[in-house]
Amino acid sequence: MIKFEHVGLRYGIGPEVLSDISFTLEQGSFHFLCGPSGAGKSSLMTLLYLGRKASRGQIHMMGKDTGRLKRNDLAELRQKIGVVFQDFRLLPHLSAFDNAALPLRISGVSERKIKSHVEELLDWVGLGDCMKRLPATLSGGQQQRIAIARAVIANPRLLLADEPTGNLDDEIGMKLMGLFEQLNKMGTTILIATHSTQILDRLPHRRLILNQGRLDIFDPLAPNTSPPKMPEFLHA
Amino acid sequence: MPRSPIHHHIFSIAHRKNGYDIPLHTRLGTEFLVLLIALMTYLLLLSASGSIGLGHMANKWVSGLENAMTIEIPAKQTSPQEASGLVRKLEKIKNVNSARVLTSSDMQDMLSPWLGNDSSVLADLPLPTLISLELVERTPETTQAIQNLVNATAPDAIVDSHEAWLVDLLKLTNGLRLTALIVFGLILFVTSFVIAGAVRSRMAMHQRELELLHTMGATDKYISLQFIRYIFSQTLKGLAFGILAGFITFIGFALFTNQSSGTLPELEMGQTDWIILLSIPFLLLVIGTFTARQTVYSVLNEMP
Ligand SMILES: Nc1ncnc2c1ncn2[C@@H]1O[C@H](COP(=O)(O)OP(=O)(O)OP(=O)(O)O)[C@@H](O)[C@H]1O
Ligand SMILES: [Mg+2]
Repeated sequence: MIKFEHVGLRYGIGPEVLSDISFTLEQGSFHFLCGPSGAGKSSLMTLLYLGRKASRGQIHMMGKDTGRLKRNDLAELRQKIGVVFQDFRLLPHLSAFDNAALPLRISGVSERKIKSHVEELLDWVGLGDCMKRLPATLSGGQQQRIAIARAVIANPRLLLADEPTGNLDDEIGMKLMGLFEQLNKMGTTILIATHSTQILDRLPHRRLILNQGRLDIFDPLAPNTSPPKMPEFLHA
Repeated sequence: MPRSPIHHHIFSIAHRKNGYDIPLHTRLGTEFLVLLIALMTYLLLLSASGSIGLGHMANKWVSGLENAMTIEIPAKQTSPQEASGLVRKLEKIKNVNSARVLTSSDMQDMLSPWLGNDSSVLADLPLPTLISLELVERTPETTQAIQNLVNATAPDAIVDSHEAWLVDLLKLTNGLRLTALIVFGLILFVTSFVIAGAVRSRMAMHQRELELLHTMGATDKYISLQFIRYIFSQTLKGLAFGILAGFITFIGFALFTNQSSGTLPELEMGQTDWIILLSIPFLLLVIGTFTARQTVYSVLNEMP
C-alpha cells in the first residue's frame, strides 16, 4: 500500500526534519504514529498526503511511484486519501455541511447523494443540528468532528489523522476511534498520529515511533518484544 | 459558550454561494473588474463603430468622386458651340456615361455660398467653362482617351480627375482605421493583463483554501472552473454596463446627426457592421475566461 525508501525531508534550506525513513504499510493495516512534539509526525503526514515532495528517496503508494506521477494522476491519488489535519483546516466561509461535502464535490458526486451521505455522517458524529453553521461558531471538538467527517466521507483507501482526538472528551474520542476501526475492517489503511496514552493503551495496533527524524516500529502484540528505548512521554 | 440569539441567527444562515468552494463571491477588492470591463466594452464599441463610420464616410466620398471628372477650359477660350462639340465627342469615348457643360445656374448654385444669390456678380466674373463627366468605370485607357481628346481640341484645358484627392482621402481613412485597430488591440491586451492580475491577487488571498482543495485531490480543472465562473460573471456584469453606456452614446449621436445639416454622414449599419459590434462582448468573454484559465493553471503549477 505504502512504501517509503530512504526518504528525507527538509524545509527550504533547513536541516533534515526526516532523514532516511524506510517503512512499509500493508493494505488494510492500522498503525499509530507516535513521537515527541517536533519529532516530525506532521511532516511525515504531509509526505503521505502528497502535500510536499520528498527531498530525497522514493515513496510508492497504491502501486505507484509518486515521484513520477503526472498532475492529474496525483490529484486522482489524493482523492483516495482522507486527511484529518492537526489544525482542522476547515474552510471558514462554508457551513459544516459544505465542509464535510467537499471531497464528494471534488470527485463529482451528485448533489442528491451528497445530501444524504453528509447528513447521515454528521448525524452520526453528533452534529446533526449544526449542519448549517459556520466553523467559527462551533467548539473545537465540534470542528474536529467536522474535520473527521470530511476525511472519511468519500470512503478513502488511506486515512491519515493527525491528533484527531486532541480536542475531544474520552467518550466521543473513543467513539471516533471506533469509527476508524470500522473503516479499517472494511479495508481502509489507517495511520493515526497521537499522543494519547489512553488510546495507545486500549488499542493494540502497531506503532511507528518517530524520534529526531528517525523511525522505529513497535508491535505491542508481538511476543517478547519490549518497546525500543521507549520515549518517556508514552508512559509518563 | 453561550451565544446570543442574534449571533446564532447571523451565523446559522451560512451556505455555499453560487457553487464557490473558494469564497469568490465575497467583496475583496476585485470588483473594479466590473468597472474595467464596462469601460473596455464601451471603448471597444466606440473604436469599432468609429472605424465602421469612417469606412462608410470614406466610401461615400470616394464613390462620389471616383466616377466623376471635370474638365476646366479657361474663360474666353471657347465658344459655347465648341464646348458642346467637345461634349458630344467625349460622350462617344468608351466608359463615359454622360458629359455636360455646367450652365450658369449650376455655377451659381456652386458659388452661392460665397457670393450670395446675386446673379449679376456672376455675369461679370471671367468664369471658366466647366464640363462635368460621369464615368461608368475609371480605367487608365478611358482617362488617357479623354486627356488626348482634350489636348487636341482645347490645349489650354485642364482635366481634373480628382486622383490626388482620392489618394489623400484613402491614406487618411486607412491611417485612421489602422489607429482604431491598434487601439482595439491595446484595449484587449490591457483587459487580459488586468484580468490576469485580478485572478492572481484573488488566488493569493485564498492561498489556504487553494492548498486545501489541492491536497484533497481537486484537479487544476476543478479549481480553475471556479475562477472562470467568477471572471465570467464579472465580465457579464461589466458588459451589461458597457453596452448600456454605448447604447446611450449612439442614441445621442443619432439625435445629434439628425439635427445637423447632413454634412455628417449618418451611421448606416450593414450586416457585417452588426456582426463586428456583436462580436465584441463575445470577444471579451472569451478573452476573460481564457486568461482566467491560463492564470489559474500557471499559479497552480507551482503547487506540488
Ligand atoms: N512549514 C515548515 N517550515 C519549516 N519548518 C517546519 C515546517 N513544518 C514543520 N517544521 C519543522 O519540522 C520539525 C517537525 O515538525 P512537525 O510539525 O512535523 O512535528 P510534530 O511531530 O508533528 O510535532 P507536534 O507533536 O507538536 O505536532 C519541527 O522542527 C518544525 O520546526
Ligand atoms: Mg504535528
